[in-house]
Amino acid sequence: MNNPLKILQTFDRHLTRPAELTIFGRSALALGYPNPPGDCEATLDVDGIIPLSSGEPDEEFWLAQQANKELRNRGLYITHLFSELDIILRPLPAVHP
Amino acid sequence: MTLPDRTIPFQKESVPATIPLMKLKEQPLAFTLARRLGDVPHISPLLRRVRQLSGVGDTHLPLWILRCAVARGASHYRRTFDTALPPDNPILTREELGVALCLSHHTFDPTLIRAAAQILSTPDTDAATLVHLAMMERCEPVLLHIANAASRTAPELEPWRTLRATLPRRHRARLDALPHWSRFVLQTGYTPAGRGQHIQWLMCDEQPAENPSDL
Repeated sequence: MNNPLKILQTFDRHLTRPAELTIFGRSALALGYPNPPGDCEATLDVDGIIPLSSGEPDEEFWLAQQANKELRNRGLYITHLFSELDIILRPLPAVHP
Repeated sequence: MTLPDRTIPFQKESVPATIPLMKLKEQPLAFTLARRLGDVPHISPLLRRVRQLSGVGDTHLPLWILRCAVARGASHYRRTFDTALPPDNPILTREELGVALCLSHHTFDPTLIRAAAQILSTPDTDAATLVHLAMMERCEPVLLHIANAASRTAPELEPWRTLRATLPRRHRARLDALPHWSRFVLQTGYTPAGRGQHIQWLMCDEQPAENPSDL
């Protein structure tokens, strides 16, 4: 089971209009790349960054977080959301043998 | 974005670009628990819920949460609270209250973390719910710190034993700012039996406070 996909599908079902979210971490690897490491699909949450252009999360966005109640019985959640002001995404450092 | 009138020519390699002249304004950095832990606070659904249930602004929110905790058994931290603070709201669960005390968004105050330890040290705390909420609200390092402190004096005590067994340890933080284990216990230098140390984990006080304004 691809947990990040399940989480985002559930979250999406609770949204009533489009919302922008930048996904990072293991869920991004699970969703955006072929053959991700096995533990990526097993991750219990989706980490996301809310773009500055979206401003503060509005009431509708918060209501969509009711998805967490639905996800609870699977131990899944989507609450690790950060402001773009607080997070700097960096590429993985090059690994030399 | 509107650019200011004055610009500085960007001269490197004759690239005809300009950099807008921006006035840097020093922003006061709040001395939060997150800063002490070297962590980044998330946009917390629990904090939003606490704001809504209390009707209190961010400045007084930690005090309101502490007042609720004292009313529900964190008696060691009893004090005279401002009477303007709203009363406890029972809709907030014990697990939510405990985790709300540990949120890294608050101005750093070790009393909040110590009160969380006492309010959660009761059989009424649902360990599984607490674990899930701690993960959702990124409080694992703080709650594991309390759980490890409990292992010294009350290794079998729940919910701390379950937290030690099940909380993930991937979320790293600087823990040196958190209260020493001795701040979660009662201890004596002398007992009626004479010299000797008696150490006891501070359990939730099941006796409700009598005077609401003097919790």
